[in-house]
Amino acid sequence: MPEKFEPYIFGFLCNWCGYAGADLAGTSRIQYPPNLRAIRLMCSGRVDPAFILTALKRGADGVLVVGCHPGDCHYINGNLRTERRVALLKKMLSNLGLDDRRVRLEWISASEGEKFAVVVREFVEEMRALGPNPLEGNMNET
Amino acid sequence: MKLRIALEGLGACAGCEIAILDLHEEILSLLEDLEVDYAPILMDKKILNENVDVLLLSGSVRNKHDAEEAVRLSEKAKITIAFGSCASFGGIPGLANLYATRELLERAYLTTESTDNKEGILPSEEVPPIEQVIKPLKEWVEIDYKIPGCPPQPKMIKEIFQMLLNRKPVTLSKKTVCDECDLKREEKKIKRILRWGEGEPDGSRCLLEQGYFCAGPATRAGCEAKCIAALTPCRGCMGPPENVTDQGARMVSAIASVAAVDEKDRVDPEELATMFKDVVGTLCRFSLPSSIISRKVLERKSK
Amino acid sequence: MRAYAESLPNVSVAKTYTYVCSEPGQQLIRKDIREKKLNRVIVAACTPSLHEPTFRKVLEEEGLSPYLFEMANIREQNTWVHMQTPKEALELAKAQIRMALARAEKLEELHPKEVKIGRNALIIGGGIAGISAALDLANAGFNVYLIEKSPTIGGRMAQLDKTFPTMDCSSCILTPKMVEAGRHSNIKLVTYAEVKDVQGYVGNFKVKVLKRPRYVDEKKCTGCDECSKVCPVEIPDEFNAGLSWRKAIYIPFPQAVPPAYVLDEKNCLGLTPLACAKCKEVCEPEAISYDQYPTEIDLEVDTIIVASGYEPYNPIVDEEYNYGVYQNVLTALEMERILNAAGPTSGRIVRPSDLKEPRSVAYVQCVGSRNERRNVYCSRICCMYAAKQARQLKEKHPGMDVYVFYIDVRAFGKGFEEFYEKTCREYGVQFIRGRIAEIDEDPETKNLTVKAEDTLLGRPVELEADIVVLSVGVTPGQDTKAIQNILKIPIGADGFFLEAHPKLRPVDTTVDGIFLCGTSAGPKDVPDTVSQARAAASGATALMATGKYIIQPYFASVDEPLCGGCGICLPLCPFNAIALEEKVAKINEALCKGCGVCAAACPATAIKANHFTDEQILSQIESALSR
Repeated sequence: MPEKFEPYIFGFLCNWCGYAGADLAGTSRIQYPPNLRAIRLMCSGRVDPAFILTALKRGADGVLVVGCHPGDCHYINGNLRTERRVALLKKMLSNLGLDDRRVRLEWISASEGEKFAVVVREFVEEMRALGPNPLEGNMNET
Repeated sequence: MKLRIALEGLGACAGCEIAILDLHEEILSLLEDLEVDYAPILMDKKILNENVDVLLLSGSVRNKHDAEEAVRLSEKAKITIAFGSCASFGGIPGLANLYATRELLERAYLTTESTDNKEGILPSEEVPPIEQVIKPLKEWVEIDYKIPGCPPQPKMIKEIFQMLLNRKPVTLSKKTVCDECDLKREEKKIKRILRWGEGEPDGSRCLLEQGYFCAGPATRAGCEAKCIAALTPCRGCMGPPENVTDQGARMVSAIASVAAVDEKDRVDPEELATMFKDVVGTLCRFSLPSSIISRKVLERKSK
Repeated sequence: MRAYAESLPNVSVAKTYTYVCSEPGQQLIRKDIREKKLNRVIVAACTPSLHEPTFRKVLEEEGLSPYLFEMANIREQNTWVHMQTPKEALELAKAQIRMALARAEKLEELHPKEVKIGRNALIIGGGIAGISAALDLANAGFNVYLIEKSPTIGGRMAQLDKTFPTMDCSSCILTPKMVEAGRHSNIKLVTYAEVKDVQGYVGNFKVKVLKRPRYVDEKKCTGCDECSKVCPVEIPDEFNAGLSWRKAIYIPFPQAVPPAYVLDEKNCLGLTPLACAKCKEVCEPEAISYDQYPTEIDLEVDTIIVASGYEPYNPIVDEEYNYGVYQNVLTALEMERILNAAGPTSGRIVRPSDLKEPRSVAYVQCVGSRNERRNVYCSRICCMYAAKQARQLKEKHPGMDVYVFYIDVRAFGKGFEEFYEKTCREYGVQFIRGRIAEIDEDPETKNLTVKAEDTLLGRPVELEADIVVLSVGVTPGQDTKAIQNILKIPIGADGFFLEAHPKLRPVDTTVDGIFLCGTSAGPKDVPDTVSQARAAASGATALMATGKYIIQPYFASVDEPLCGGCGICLPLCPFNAIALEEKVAKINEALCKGCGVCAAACPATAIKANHFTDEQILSQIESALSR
């Protein structure tokens, strides 16, 4: 019986909203799959498209970027910049033959612990269905 | 003792060699201290067998012969230099990485409009096998320096030759093309991206601010921004700036970051993506093979 | 886990302890830092949001930079959420420790920065907000420059008759404050002046103020009024909402501070060449001088408070009300002046067309507010001021019919509900729920017929009113845009200045050192205005009190040799921290908040985001994904 493929998700969580929302899921003991490796940044606006590309290159099956809802950004509009960067990056990824659903941008506030868990659950399943990141060992085509 | 140099073009267009000729009379003063042992197109010598001090390799590594020659020649040289953007980052041929090699061969030999090849023959006899992926020269041989540009500007070539003649390490500008560009900068806020040829550009103002894609901000300086001085936006041929690996990623970030977000002028994120007909071709025109994701993911066929 | 951690490169010691945040736990860390000469500390435990400051303090006390500390959140973001998959949770914990270690190796010795800050505050606007803030700051010992555009301080509150819900006489409670502000040794009052330019940043603002010439020496003027009597020019009096006349040389109202007259140059017959000069002839104290010029005043201040006020909505654009067409359609401010005993009619209620006492008055609520075509927001004060004016009308003329046509009655404040109730029950003001659709005028009598729908009874209403009062809303002050350009503080979608955070920072702006208060930030009544003004003063005090201002070292910095001067970073910074100087971007560390948006956008990767550098983040990505 082949082992079920467990996707690796890399997460960028903003300090004021995303990371706090994830912490709330923790304090509320809301369970979600252990496939997420996340780091904390002050603002989702710190997320450089090069980070997302590196994560994908290193084998992440999915990349999750979490910021504050538009209008709530602690730094006013950093999240709006991220929104546009991710949109353009997704187009670039499609051009490069990657399914752009592997990069997901979510707005999750500090009070939305439940939503954080739901998003991680959904994203893990979506990546499981998409299959492993094709970049690992794709330097030769048939 | 004259400095002995050799040039070789791998999968090359000869533009870099011609760029050396563009030094015009200034070549003469350089030739007092330079001995050119081997230079295809410029000199009538077929094979290099001697050792040289400096080897300048231009062009991309497209087939097995290119790869073998690169290795063979660099073993003969004390210093190997990737000459031109193809050798430095992959160059225009690097865009072939967006296709399967089968697709490339079929297009070249079968489906081009003026080709009459009813038998569907793809050359294979006495033709070196094609490399599946374009990789920058440094993936094949150890490179001491690179001279970017498509082609490198004669002034830059001259300065670098002088550094070599003075036995000094080759240094490139650490700045970006914006530093050499004289256009007036007002406010970086983009409402839409225009294709070059749309609308009427203002020749005194930053082209990017007017909505024309210009790779200047993410491109190394050294070319004196000549294209922009001729009112043509920079296409990024000098490759990524000093500390940057992925030129395309930088332009994605820069352009998306200055897409308007205020109440009145808001650019919709989805709309932004549609403003480019070809994101990879435009943003990574010269440097795809040395980008983080250097090759399009192709569908696997079962073996 | 402990063994795994110790096996990782560069780890000199790994320990387990149940409550590391407790005092004995902290002691453990202190001891190891000292004895083992550690230069990085990682705690794998709860979320850094809880105890990062605790452990940073420990490092600081041991002489290490507090920013050489890293936490792995293996509780809230691991064990508490992966209880059913313990094996995977363990693998994740190992990855989290690897990530923390990779980042710790790249952490740098950062230290918080101190910026010197002085004791001077600038307040833009001399209404009740500006005055309240000025008094608090001045009493605390700070120096205040209070700049006011008009010839006197006092603002809109001076035009009011009574204030709700206490029915205090507005001038009676305002004027003592005005006098106090005018006399206070720590307040420098500059009236008939505007702020023209502000450069710099908190602790270092350089302000240019332009003071217009009064043509009257404030110190010599005795207020005898002789000049006004001989002035041949008559202009509609702005203080009385245009319902009476004033002269070109005038005092805005008797209790003006400074208590001096002013010559309105625009309406005077002429100063160059001198056309009239009658006022100077009769001025005994010789206070009038035509030889005055606009003066530029340069100030250096440390904090700024914006108290620039509001503009009442002008209903001339709402054709259905026929304001400006029918004489007896008034705005609430005009009615306020009529009600005022010091107003154009000495407090007698008369209607403009025939100066007769009205038998019925109808109020239209929400004029210019709660309207998709005009302003979407609610102006907050109109329900209460309409109830107030309606009560005053009934007080003076119990037999008068007073109607208030409303959508909702918003009586939210302290004593407001009781006031409204009493106005209906005891004073007999009739509140009808429905908007007035049409106002018609009888061309002979100039009586007005009002058509509306009574939505509670579900039937149309048509009644005759001698006066219709439009309860106009609050709109952003005329100078809001100009002030925005000068200070670079953001304006919200509604046109009022935007606070830094709607819940927790209602009187701050995104620019450090600049505060907001009063109606410049949105519609509000006097108690809320005063609260905000005093809060803004408190904010400014908090900055200036210690003489220094500590900045967290999360700021970004530009590696200048790499910067090509493209300018892409400039518009990204909401805190005005980046400027282009000599073709290179420079970041003001005092203003930078460390969000990192500029660093991510820089096409040359010339901007370094301290404590969240590219190297640190990339090392975390690489260590996370090593399978």
